Amino acid sequence: MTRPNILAFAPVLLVGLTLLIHAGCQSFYTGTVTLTAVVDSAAKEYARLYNDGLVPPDVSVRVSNAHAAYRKAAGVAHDALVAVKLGQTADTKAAIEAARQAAGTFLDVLVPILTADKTKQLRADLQKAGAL
Amino acid sequence: MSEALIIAILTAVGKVGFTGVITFLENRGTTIDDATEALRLAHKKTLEEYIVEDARLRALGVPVPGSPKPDGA
Repeated sequence: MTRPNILAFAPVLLVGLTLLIHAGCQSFYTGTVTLTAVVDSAAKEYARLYNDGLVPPDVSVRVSNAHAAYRKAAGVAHDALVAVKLGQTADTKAAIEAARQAAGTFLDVLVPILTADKTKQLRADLQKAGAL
Repeated sequence: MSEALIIAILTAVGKVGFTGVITFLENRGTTIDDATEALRLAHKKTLEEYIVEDARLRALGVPVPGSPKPDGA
């Protein structure tokens, strides 16, 4: 029986590795888009409650500050991705993680005024965004 | 390198590659441009804009998700 030529399978190995790396990048981008969608949903819910007059002033201040911090982190993450697109070196993973942390803080501040179901849904969506 | 080891390696790579293909197919279409644009919009839109937008939709009579339905509806 002849030994299989390992070099004959090199293209298969190369294709498999390439697909794996590409899939990882795709998941990273999907997670990022999901993260922004989660915060967008939470902000809309907050706006509804605010216009219903259901937000205490102290909570309003904390929510506003938390959202401002999230926006800042999102801006940093955006700049990091732009840098990567331009062929520059940037720590996109750290930037996205910082944005995810800021999003989590924003949701934490909203917890006292959101319904239990909405809180649970947003947290699950945020966790999903982080897992991607 | 023994044939059994070669087969084991190729099987593992095959499984990993297959998983990668499935993941790719599930997430295809979400590019770095999509993520960049999502972050750009997230950075741009303030909380006040969300509040104003909600008020504007209410004034236009557009049902706001989560709001109580009007009587008789």
